[in-house]
Amino acid sequence: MFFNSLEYALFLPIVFFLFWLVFYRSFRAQNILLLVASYVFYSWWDWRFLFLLVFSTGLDFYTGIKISDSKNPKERRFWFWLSIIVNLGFLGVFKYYNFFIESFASGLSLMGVQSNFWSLKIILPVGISFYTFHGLSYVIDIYNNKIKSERNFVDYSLFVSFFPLLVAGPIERATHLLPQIKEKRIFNYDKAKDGLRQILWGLFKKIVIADNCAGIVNEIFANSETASGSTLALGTVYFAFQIYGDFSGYSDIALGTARLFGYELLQNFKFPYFSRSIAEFWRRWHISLSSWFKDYLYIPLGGSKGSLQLSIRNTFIIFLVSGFWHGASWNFIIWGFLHALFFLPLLLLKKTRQKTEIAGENTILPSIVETIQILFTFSLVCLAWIFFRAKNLTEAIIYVKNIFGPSLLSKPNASILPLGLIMMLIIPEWIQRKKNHPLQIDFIRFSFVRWGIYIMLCFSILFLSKSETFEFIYFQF
Amino acid sequence: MTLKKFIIRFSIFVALIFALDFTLAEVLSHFVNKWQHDNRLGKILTHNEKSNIIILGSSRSFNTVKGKEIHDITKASVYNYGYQGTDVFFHEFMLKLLLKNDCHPKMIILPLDEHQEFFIDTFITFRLDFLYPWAKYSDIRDEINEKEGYKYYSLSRSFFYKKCDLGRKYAERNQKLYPHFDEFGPLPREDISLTYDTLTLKPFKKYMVQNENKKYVNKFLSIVKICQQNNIQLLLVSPPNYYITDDTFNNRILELIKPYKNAVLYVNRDTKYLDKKWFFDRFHLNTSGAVMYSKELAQFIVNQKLLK
Repeated sequence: MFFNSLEYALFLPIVFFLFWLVFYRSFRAQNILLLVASYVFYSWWDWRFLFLLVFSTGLDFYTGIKISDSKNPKERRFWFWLSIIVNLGFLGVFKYYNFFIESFASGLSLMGVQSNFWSLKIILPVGISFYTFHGLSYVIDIYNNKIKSERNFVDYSLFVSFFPLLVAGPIERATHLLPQIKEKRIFNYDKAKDGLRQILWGLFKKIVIADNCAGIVNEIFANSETASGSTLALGTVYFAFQIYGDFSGYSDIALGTARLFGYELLQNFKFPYFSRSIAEFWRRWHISLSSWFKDYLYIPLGGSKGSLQLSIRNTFIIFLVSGFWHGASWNFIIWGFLHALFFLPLLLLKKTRQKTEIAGENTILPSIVETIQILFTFSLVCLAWIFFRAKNLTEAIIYVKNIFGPSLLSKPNASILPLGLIMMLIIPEWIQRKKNHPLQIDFIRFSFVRWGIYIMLCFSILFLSKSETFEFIYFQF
Repeated sequence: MTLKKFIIRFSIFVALIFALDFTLAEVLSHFVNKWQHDNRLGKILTHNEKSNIIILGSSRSFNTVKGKEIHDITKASVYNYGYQGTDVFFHEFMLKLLLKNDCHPKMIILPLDEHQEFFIDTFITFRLDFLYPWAKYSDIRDEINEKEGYKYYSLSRSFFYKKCDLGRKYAERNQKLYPHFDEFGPLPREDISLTYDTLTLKPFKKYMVQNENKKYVNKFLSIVKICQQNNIQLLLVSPPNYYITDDTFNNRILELIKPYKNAVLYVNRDTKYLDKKWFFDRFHLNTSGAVMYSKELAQFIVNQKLLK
């Protein structure tokens, strides 16, 4: 069930009304309702994978209790590693098996050894990378005595499977979401209203921005060998906004949906294309994943506390792993590597912690320096996106090579309509960059103006949508 | 209390969206139907189509069967609903639409597309774009939704009008690109195609029965059955082409319609159609060719007493 589908448009109000009007007396009943709804939501794609989800949930729930109850360090370690190995094992089999087998076989063939390994036609269960990371963070936190194990299976299952975040995040933490699940909820009008507005903005980003860019991006990448440099450059910009509109749009809908039920999820995007450095970009892009890697990989590896060499090593490790998390392909690893490379100068100059506030903090427009920094950062991000988007490394290299030719200054041979749409995204986001999302417009005094804006957005979604539906990109991860 | 306020406000917002959508759709439908070039579907949807002979099919229909000539000889009322680039699925939809909207013709004339009729072809499709301007009618909206798959915008009435062709004035200025109309429907091409000069009479690819797509064949048979059930004479036409072909396709049609008494195939193998001067391009007759062919077809209808 996609967030931009008719099914979801019917599913969400039904769950909402049952939640607040039928099961309102008991938050336990509300949790059961949400869990059932989440499983229905997940089964919509492929009910068979529900067993995997329930098994993974049950395993982490059980091992969590075992780790928490055990006084014996060896026993604790056993249950901890059992959970880690099984979770990563599932991920390895479903997501990475073919990649390892094929890479190993091609490695052997480079050495002159011909091999015939079995590659399997494995379907990637939707959201496996996300719910596995939910479970992992939970077990690691218990092992590190940061939290106590959850004793209520329904509550824990809801933490892992809550439908707004189940298939594409944000990757939640037990410390953040579980306490909310265990609290009695009181309907909050402002929160629910804001949730609806965030859903509306998310739909706009997905349907108007991402989907309108998607078709052109597909065409440009399919013709990267013959297209002019300017067309390819435009294709990269379109892809940057496609993936942003797609993924942050999904996150907005997820956050807004959760807010309708009284939950606050972790913010996943904070206007990343206004970043003035790669370090800032990573504080604003897919925040829940970056912070996950920071807390569970970067810091345990020593973070930036040791020598400079250690910091560099750790930085490269988390970016490479982050790339690999996105998909079993060398493209994603190169994408991660490029970001690590772009990060390196900041690390050497000890400037990774700079620019924690948003650009143009106290001004209407960014300064000239800030504008240059934003454009430069955006260009680096776009360059890396080519590797993310291309089918394989060869296509990515040809694409990059063809951009930087004399035809870079020619007129691009692609529709420029999406540029206008992108402006419809950038301008409100810039104006509202200090807010969580651009539709937090309570400062507008007259309600008819606010309603006018909402209605205009609804109709722009309707009239600027494409009849072909493009899947959310992050579902494949 | 706040929940009640939320539900009320949200319901008002949703109602407002639907009301605005409805209003916008009404305005657009009026505007679209007034400004578009081809308004034929409106005649059916407003229950005003009462002709005795209805011509269905693709561009081969109005480039082959000229309504006026059929009318003059048979004395029956005739209208042509040929839409260029449409496939057998579209033709079946049109037939059902006619019957659903109180049109019960005595005869359906259906010119066939020899090499496209039973095959998936990029030039012959279910042309949804002909339906968008009529989205205010539920029959049309349902068909679009079914073909596109029900999506969130299925709930909207105004959505489909964004795809409408408002090019009546453009069409009038560019008459070579758009068919002209008279009281019997669209007219055949008057001029010649850009490739006319290079046309030579040579063999075309062989018709391969084993490559047929079953879905297309079944749709064709569905048309035959619907006509039989509604006591409609189905006159299938295998129009002349400017290429050398054999009778494989015609024999195949005869084999398919054998169990049905209401269906007849008209094939005219007169050698005069080996002359390029009657053709617009390889697959379509020009006006002179269509006039001549239609007269002969009308005479066939009279001689065979097909119009009871």
